[in-house]
Amino acid sequence: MVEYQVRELSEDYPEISASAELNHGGTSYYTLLSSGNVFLTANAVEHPNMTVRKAMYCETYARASQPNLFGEPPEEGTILYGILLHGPDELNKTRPGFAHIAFPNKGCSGYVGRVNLFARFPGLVGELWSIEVEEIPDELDMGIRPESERRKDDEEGAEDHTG
Amino acid sequence: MKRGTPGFVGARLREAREARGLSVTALAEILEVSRQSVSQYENEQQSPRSEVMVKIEQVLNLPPAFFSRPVLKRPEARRIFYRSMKSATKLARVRVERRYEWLTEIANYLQEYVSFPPVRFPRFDVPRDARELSWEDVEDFAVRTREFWGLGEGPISNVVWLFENKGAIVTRGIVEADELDAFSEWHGWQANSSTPYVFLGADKESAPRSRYDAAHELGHLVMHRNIDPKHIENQTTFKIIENQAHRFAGAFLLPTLAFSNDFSVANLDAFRALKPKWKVSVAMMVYRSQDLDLVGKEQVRRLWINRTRRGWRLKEPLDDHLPIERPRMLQRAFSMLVDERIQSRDEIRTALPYSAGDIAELAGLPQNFLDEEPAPISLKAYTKKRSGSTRSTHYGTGEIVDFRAARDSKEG
Repeated sequence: MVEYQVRELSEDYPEISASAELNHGGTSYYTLLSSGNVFLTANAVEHPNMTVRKAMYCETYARASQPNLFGEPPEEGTILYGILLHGPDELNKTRPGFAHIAFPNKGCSGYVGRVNLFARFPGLVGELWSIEVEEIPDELDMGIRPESERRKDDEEGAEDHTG
Repeated sequence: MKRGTPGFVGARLREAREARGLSVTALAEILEVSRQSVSQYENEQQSPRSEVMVKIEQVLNLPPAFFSRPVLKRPEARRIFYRSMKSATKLARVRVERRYEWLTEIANYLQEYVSFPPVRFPRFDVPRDARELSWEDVEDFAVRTREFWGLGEGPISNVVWLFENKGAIVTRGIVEADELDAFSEWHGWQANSSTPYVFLGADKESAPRSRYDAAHELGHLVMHRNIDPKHIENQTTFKIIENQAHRFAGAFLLPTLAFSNDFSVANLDAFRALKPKWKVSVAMMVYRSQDLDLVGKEQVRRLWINRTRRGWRLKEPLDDHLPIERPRMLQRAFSMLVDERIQSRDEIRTALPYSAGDIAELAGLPQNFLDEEPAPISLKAYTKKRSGSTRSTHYGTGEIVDFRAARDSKEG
């Protein structure tokens, strides 16, 4: 579903190209979005902090990617590779739980930076999902015991020292 | 025992001395008796002469009845989860433990007349050895605890109320030791009918800190209820147990997805902006971001340096603005006793042989609640329903109205 919508992006944004690429093993396709030297693939993960499943294409793009995001401008020909990490909301699978663009390290074993799209575009997120405060009511289930139920608590086992 | 004060219970003297944080030597000096005499009183080899007894009552600020009361048996091996087991905190631990025992006596007394909310805490299948738990297990327990209580992933408006609604007995009191902060225990002789007690330190008047303390203690109560008590005494396993409770607190107060979605950049101002929403400290958000790999090691290092530079180690912004979550269950129980004329203040004072100040602090009562001529307490949003012979009373938020003060100011 997400992959399909990602591919459709290029219809609305002609500067972005979307293509279905065959993986190295030739067993499945993945979607590659590119605009200039920025490359993006999408992966569904359980949590935004999870690394993506090992894939040759990921490592290939990551190796070619500019490693220092905040340093010198990238040399000509290098790419910036990011992964759109997305997943459903744990409590309501029909709505998105998160969407981060994470920038992997060279080995694709971790991330060197990320952009939380929900935080960057809070208005949009509000439409998709608002985190509601769990209001704890001031309700104490208490009552006066009827006389027949009253008892001296002996379960603590008072030890008589008075002899 | 040599006769001096009839019915004198030496163990109560020891308890009172420890509750006041005094050594045998210190008490002996104040009483102007020998150290041996105090030891003999405590071991019931002799009881104090009447003039010494009067002094003891004054110095320890306890009524005579306290010293003739039978003591409660203590379980041989307890699982009280203290934040620090260092020898430096031992005096403070003993002091608060004695006061905590008084709290349990107060709660027992109240429960003779008032039914408390039934205990609805999750009982997961947890090991006796904390080393068997992985971080994933800890995170999972936090998620399942929220689910058990029907909570979503959002910020919890009031952690203390949540605990009390679910049957825990919570108190706030001065612990007088920087590293203690809070402690908790499943109290009771039978595992299936025990009650969770949470003692929150009131020394640091900070709502985020106190919420964190409460969530940390919840971690112990949920995950460590079966822990071998010897593991609490052992430095290595104690550290593991504590770290698990830290992680649980983070996962419980800042659920993975909801917090990750709020996280934007590793920047102190961004965390500060989230503080009123999640009602946790910036420090806790930094730790949680690290646990969730939202920030790298270098970023974390920079965050801690900046936090120190801004002076946030001692006090963070908004600490004074977020209201402290205060327990209200014991206060309501006392009010019910008095309002429903089940017990008079005189009867309460007789039944509970502590100073009025001790009772007030432990039960979160106004200091003058047990006075001879107490200020009336008005409970707003007060509704009652009666069915059969059982009276069920639901109290809303209470408001203390000091009519004497109001009258005095008018008269003035």
